Amino acid sequence: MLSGLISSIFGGITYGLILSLMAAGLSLIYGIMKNVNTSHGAFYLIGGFLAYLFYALHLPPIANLILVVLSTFFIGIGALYLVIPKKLWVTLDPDEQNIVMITFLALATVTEYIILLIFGGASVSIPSIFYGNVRILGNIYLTAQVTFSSILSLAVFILLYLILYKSKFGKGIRAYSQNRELALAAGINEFIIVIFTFGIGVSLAALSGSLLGSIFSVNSASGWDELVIAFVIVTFGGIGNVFGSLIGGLVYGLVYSIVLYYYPSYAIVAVLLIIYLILLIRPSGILGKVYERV
Amino acid sequence: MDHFNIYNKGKKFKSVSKVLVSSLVIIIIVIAGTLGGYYYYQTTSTAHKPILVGLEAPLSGTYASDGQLVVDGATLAVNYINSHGGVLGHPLKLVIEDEGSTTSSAVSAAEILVEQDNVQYMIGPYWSGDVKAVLPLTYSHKVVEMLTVSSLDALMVPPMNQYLFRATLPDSGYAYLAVQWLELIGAKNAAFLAEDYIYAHEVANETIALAKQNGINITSVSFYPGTATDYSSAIAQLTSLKPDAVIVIMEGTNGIDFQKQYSANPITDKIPIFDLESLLDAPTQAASVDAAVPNGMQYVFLGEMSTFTNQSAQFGTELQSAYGISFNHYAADAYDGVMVLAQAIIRAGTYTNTTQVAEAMMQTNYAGPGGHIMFESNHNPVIGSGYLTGTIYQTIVKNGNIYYEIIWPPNYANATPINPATGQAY
Repeated sequence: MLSGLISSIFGGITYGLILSLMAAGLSLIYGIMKNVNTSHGAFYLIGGFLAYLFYALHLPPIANLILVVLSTFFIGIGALYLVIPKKLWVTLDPDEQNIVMITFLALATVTEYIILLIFGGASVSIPSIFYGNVRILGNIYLTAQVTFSSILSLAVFILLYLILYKSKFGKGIRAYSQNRELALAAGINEFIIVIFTFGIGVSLAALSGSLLGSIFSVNSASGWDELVIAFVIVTFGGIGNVFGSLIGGLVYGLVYSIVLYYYPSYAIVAVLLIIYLILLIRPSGILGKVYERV
Repeated sequence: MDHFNIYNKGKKFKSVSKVLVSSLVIIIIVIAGTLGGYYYYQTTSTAHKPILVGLEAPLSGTYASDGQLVVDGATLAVNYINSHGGVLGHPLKLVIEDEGSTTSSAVSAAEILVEQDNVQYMIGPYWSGDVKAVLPLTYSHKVVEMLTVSSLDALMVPPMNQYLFRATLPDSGYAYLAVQWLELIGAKNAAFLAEDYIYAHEVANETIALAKQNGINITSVSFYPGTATDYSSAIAQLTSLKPDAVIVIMEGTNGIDFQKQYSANPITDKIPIFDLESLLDAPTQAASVDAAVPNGMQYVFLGEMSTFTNQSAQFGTELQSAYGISFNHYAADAYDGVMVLAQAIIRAGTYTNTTQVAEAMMQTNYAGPGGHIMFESNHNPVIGSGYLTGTIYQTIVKNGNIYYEIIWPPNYANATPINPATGQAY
């Protein structure tokens, strides 16, 4: 039974890790735009179906992933440009934030129905890039695809760290996030910062969708549940903090898998309860310090 | 003015009485004409007045395609009946409402059918939860309701089942099918995993009881949220338990997700698995799992609600010709549902008194494309050989192609269950 539990924990952590990519994108976008991207799940969905489409076109698996990320980057920027008035891209006004939130919701619903029209309601499975299993210990296995996806997710977080903390562009993002007026006065191009951040954010959701689509499956209704989980992870990790999402994702996966192992029906309730209790102690989330927001 | 003075004697008085009599005659003629016309309209129109049969199924959202199959099957039955003179001289007319994807939309659809369209007969709703929600309405209006998809046994209890009948395999039929499979492969124990819905709990309880009667032990029962995608914990449980067999009820896309993860694990991938009413019955879905996880469908068995009869093949041809679709139990059971209703109305000799029709329903002895239907006292269909049995398939993967072999019931089986590990029969 212990090996079963350990196996379950490994599974949960890897699941949380891959989902934390999506949450990091959500957090990144909020940090810059101060708007909640309620269409984030739609980009998870787009990522999954693009990966399926590229697979059907016989693209090599790694090229498939790269193309998913690049395509979603441009689709995201295009969608932002088309559906959200430019003056609302960055706003602190609650009424305007509501307008943006509802528009993003409409975008997600339209995306779902477009996917339903094109691909139908059936689930599609994206073939793994790597087959077989990795033996962790005794009877504890991880599939090669889960192992690869987890390592790739960690690599993306390292890349995000390098971009945000070591590049000029990343410093611009952080500066803008911390003090918009000062950043603009220092000559930072707001337009570039916003569209690139949005593009990167939704690409992370798409990458998450294509990776999880190869481990599970995707269908036209995918993305909504993942959006809710991403909200939970972001809130727990600290809204606006990318690396808080990583911690949030790991904790989510850990708690979820343990409860799921013993009391499957109560897994989500237990996770929400534990996160609620932690938020009572730290209302801003684990890494949610305002001056560190990026 | 004197002309109209009735107190005047003679000619003037006579003139007034003439007017009165004439008016009276005209009034009588008008009233008689109106009554006669109304009577004529009533007698002629009721002679051709259609009997309305409401149909409620999901026609939007994820399950719209399955809901449409119900409509197609019922439409074929209505067309057949009307082309053979209708029921008691009346044509049947389907009144279709979208059940939607929420209970509130299902209740609204039922209200339109029952209170606005005044239907006295109904096919559906599709989901058991929706049936439960609309039952107070249909029961209070004495609407004879025929379930052709919903499987929850708990619905069929007095007094609310007075007008409620089922023409498809109930949850006890799922359990029956699962235990037949366990016996076929010689399993001594099994694990049961399902989505966390009320019907799945019912099937679990009934499977445990039936398996016990047959000397099979269900060692673990777990329910997972219907929206779950990550089943690593479930797989981990199974790797610890190592049961002889696994029974799964995950009717949505969760079943696909589970199967992929199950097949990807080097321990569980060789434990025979029985997926009840799974989307894996679609070759494209099964092929996508097999492509994503090599040999991912090797140890998979499918339990389907379809019960084949001599008429199933003919019905499949009709479906193909009318709608371009192959035989499926949604259409077959809906077809049977309408036919059983029509026969009961004929036996009752009235379509307006639904209490008599419900009583006549108990004399049903009908064999159609979806099986041989007779009703138990609780208005569920009789389950077992010669009646409704369901069907068990084994998926066979050859050169990357998926084939479905029928291994049960015996009279329709075209293969024996094969253990993929040995290539021999179980």
